[in-house]
Amino acid sequence: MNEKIEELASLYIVGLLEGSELTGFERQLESDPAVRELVDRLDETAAQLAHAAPPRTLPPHLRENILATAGGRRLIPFNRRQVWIPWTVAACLALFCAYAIKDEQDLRRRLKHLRERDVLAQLEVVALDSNVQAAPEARAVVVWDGRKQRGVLRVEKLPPNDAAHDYQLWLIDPRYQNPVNGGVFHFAGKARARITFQPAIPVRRPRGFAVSLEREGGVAKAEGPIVLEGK
Amino acid sequence: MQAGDQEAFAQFYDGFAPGLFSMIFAILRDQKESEEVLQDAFVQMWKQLATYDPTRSSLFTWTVMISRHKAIDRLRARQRQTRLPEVVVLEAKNTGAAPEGADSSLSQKERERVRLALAQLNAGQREAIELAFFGGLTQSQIAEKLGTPLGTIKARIRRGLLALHDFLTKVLP
Repeated sequence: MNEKIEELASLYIVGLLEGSELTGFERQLESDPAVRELVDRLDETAAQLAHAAPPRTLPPHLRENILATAGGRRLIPFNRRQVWIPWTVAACLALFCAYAIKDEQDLRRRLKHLRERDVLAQLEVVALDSNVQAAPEARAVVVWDGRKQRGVLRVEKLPPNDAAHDYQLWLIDPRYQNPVNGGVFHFAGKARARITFQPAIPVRRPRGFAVSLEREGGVAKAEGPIVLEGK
Repeated sequence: MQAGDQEAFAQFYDGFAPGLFSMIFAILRDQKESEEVLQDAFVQMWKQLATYDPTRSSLFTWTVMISRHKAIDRLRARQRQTRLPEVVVLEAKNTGAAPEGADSSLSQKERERVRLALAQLNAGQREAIELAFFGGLTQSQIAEKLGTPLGTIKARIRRGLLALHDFLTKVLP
């Protein structure tokens, strides 16, 4: 990437491009994936500068005002249109799906081995076991990237949910009183499914993951039976 | 509204609002305006959450960029009205800061990490980046404020951001 492109990308990110320079760069952004990737990377860096702001106490009344004003919209936790699966996560899933379901001891050895590898330094990998008597062979694996606040859930042999119910993923973070909603998903008539997810609020070091069966659309706090869980 | 949506929105607010409010205030330095901008930003984010693309950026980055954009817009509108551009650097903004203990340990760690990253830059790069991010100034205004040629300002911002990126992803990921 040449210096001119880097310079334009840097200025674009902090909002300093104007006029023809801006429109020209935006055209380049649309047509050149490498430029888009550079901008996305630098965007993440620039956003970190928000942490440089001296902390301010939030006025308590603001929370109620904002919740009352903005809360009337339906949240769609899973981004169903996009697929996010970096190669490290893909590699993890492939390994786990090959090993996990067959041999529990072997799975745990593989987990330990993978966790020790540098490539997984940013990733949490958790196997979820079945709590369903009727489907003891149900399994899932979560690969979670705390830095990017994204994860992939791979599910196998879960009983299909009916139209009135959805499965819902939960992330257990001790910072929060209740498990954090990871979104709902359907599992109907498939041998396995892969779901990308992102929690509604930041989760750093989850102590575990669980999947419950809830009414259609999901719930704020788990109400239905926990069908899969793991730490 | 479904109860689950309201709870999810409350969680979303609790997770992001404190840091975003601090950033907005650092840009605007006005309590009432900062509250209004935070509210506008959350309304917009909530409306657009379904269109958020996790392949492009983290949720944190997405919230920061929307909130910052709104704060800068407000700042520039104010500057157009007064014709007196407010030029500030980060150190000058530390007034009325949160009392001790008001910040979570997680936020403190993130702030320390970014502080260390900024400390790696030379003074010119740091000043240019802070003015660009928090100051709401144009390229020319930054150059004028710092008494430095425009080309040098552009180069400082480029080098500074790339150095920050390297530090935050390789040294203190």
